[in-house]
Amino acid sequence: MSDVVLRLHDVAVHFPVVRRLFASRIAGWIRALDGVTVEVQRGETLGIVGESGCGKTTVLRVILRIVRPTAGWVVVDGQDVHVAKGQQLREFRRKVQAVFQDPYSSLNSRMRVDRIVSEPLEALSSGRMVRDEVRGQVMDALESVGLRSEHAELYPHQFSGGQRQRIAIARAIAPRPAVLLLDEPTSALDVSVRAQILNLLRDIQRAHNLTYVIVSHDLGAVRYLSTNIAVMYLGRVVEVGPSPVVCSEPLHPYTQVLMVGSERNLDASAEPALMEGEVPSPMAVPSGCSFHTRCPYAMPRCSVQEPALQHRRGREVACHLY
Amino acid sequence: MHLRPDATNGQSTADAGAGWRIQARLRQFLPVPGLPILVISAVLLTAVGAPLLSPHVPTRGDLDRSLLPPFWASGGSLDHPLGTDLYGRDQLSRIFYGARISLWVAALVISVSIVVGTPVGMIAGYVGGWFDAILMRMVDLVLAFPLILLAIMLAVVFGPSFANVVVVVSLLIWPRLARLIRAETLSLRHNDFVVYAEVVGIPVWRIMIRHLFPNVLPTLIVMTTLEIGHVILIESSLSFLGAGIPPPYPSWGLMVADGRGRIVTGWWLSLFPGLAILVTVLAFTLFGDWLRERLDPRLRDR
Amino acid sequence: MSAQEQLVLDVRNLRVTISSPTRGVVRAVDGVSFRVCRGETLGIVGESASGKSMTALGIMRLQPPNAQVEAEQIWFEGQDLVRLTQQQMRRLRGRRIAMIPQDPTTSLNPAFTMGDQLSEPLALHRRLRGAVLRDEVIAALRRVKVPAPEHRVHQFPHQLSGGMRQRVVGAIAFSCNPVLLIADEPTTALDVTIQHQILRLLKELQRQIGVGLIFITHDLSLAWRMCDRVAVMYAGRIVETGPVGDLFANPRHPYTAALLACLPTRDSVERLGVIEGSPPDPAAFPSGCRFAPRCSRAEDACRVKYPEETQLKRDRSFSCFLPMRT
Repeated sequence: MSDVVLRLHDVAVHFPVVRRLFASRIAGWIRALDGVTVEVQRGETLGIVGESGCGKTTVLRVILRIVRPTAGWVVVDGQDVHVAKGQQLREFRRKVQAVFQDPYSSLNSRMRVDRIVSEPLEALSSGRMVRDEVRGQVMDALESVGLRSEHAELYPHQFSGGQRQRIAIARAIAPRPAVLLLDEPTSALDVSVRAQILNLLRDIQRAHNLTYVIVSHDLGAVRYLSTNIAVMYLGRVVEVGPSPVVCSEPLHPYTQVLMVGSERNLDASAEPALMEGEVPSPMAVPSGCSFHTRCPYAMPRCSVQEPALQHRRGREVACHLY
Repeated sequence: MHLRPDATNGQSTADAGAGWRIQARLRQFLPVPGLPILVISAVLLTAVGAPLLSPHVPTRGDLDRSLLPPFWASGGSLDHPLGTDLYGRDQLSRIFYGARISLWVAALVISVSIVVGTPVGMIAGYVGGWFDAILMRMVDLVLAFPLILLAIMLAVVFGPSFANVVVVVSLLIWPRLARLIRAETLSLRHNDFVVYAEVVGIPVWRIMIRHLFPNVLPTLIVMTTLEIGHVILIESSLSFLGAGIPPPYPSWGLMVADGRGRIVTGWWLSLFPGLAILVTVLAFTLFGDWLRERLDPRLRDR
Repeated sequence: MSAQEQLVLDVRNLRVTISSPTRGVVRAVDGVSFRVCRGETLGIVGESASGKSMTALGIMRLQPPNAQVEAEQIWFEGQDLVRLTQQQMRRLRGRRIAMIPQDPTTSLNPAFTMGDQLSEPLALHRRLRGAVLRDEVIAALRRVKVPAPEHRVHQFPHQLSGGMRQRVVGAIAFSCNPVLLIADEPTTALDVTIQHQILRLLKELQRQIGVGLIFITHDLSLAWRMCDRVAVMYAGRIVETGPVGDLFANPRHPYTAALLACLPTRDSVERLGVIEGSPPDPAAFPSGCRFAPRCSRAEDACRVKYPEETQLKRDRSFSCFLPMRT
């Protein structure tokens, strides 16, 4: 039974690089996303991993309508996200919420906690909600994240990083969304607090049947929460599949290196060939397979033809080796 | 991945020697800048209470008592503690009323500047693009213009007046304010909480009032305090040149100008108003500095 | 450490106290002792506010202006660093003791080229000039595997990527063949794949010149890969030390065990181990064991008195009344 809540279809996001303000000369294009197609089923979690410049943050931004796709569609519950207007738009905004990385800049330090959580709630209900209803939902949300009613009257700076992130989560779940986008939700937190937040996220997901898209370079966190994992490199998805499959048996050479780096690897000999070189700039994406410049297994074919995602051994992978 | 550094790992610089330590120790002893606050209170008090405190009417002079020295010099009397000027007007009263004028001008100028400069700066910083470019070029234009010259021209054409001074100095101050507000707005604009508000669909005007302005406010307050001193100085300069507050109103600058011709024989004519300017501007500036330090690191303190 | 291995650094009871007008007395580092030998890597692992970065700054005497460094001794090459003047310290820094700080963006001067920044310590400490200096700069860049060093020499920091910048910082650190190197979270700001490269480079360079390395990190998996011995810091003190294998396999201090349990492993389906609460405020440490408020094993005795160090073997110790059983 397929219940696809969120779908990206061949989404491309290219930013023009303009040289001069007045003589508008386009010096090149930053290919942040280059034909990304992913699907997420209701109640599941899609984890997107990759390094800087891979486009994983852009995926979230294009879903949230912060950037427009140069090509392709973003569809939530059958609704094309970028053409929605008026009531549809409001409905979309309520359905898709986000939690950002930095717990210090994601909360307005001059606002009380209850106001922080209630503001989006009020904005999205277009004034239909009564004050008491709002307050009730705010308190519910705070409770779900493990905070108490006394906390509602305090200001963000009176809380620790982990608690602030909880407030951000409360703010996101208060409008009763269907999809939660998580942008590096634990990267700015201490190890011990990280685990608390990850457990919380898991609990909330189960309690409210939420669908998550989590973007992170912390593979441990992603592995813990994700049903499926998509590995991105320079704007393209190079491997995507069920989390246990991708993690225990990574096929794409890039995935292999990423997986090794994240573990408490007690077997020192299990280090695969390390990559040399730096990540190429998204302005100058290599031809063919964008990874071929750093791949230890590169063949002549790799610099010519871009590999398509193929179904192999229980997941999709884009590599000429398979 | 950016993990927060240790809470205690400040901006570490090499131990720059004893100077640093003394400063740090001093700051511990003087949590509140007593002296500047005292002076500012005194100035405010005299400005407000000038009619009650002044022993004489500042604009009326008694020619029989012209050019009397301060009370401790020979020929002076306690009736005119700081002496009199050429027209026999009491200097002390004029200094009190001068405080009034200075602060009144400052209040008007700063109010106008805030009302005009804040929205301009915030919109420029938030919207960016063409709007920002145009606004900032306008600001540059105003700042590049020799406003003292403008003031003098206006004074020549329309005659010096209170209104002129306020207009001219406001023209000078509001762009500075706008630029600073713009910078603050720019730095805040991409903070996650603003992005989130946009994502949720909160209208721009609401974001600016609810989210940006409260965060810009501390900077605004500090700048205001610092600019008060600046305004007083400009007004005094203009009055000194004759393009500011017209006589017989006792602007401190004007009083200094009056005493210019008699630096030796009538030294009290320029000295006391000059000191008044110095002490007042210094007090406001020091206070503003302290305020800035108090507010700034706290904001960054997580 | 066998008798043959040379001791490079011997720190005893290091304390770094910060007097802040708003927060009072903050005991960032509260009695830390450890030793480092030639060619070995000591890891200092801790979370924020544990004091690990301040320890590094304290050793180098680069603490912030309102902080004070005290110690029984900081023995280094026959000298006690605590008793040296800043002038004397300056002669050691960059030459005998080097540091690689966390963020390469701020540790390089954006107004100078890479060549200039590398030349400075070489000219200062090794008194090189002219052509010899230029050659040495390029050689230093080659040692850290910077491609096209003749070209990079003329570039500015903003023209290089994070990984490249950190290599240059490494080059600066190694340029004068230091005896002790302190790396404070050198790869935290970098991508995962670049991290691997930098760490591998670091290990290699260490092997080449036999420098004693203090590797500060919050990431246990990195500590595992890089270090010979590890000291776990919490709330300004070291709670456990030992060889990395033994520490990871048989942690004795509950905090170490909890930290290890927090790491999601390959097959963690059940709930992650958590540590409730957060680290204590360094301005107001609780009495007794500082981890007690968060420790699942804590009893009354733990809250009264701070547990003294129990020495199991040479280089294996912990401070706990109720250690984990092996």
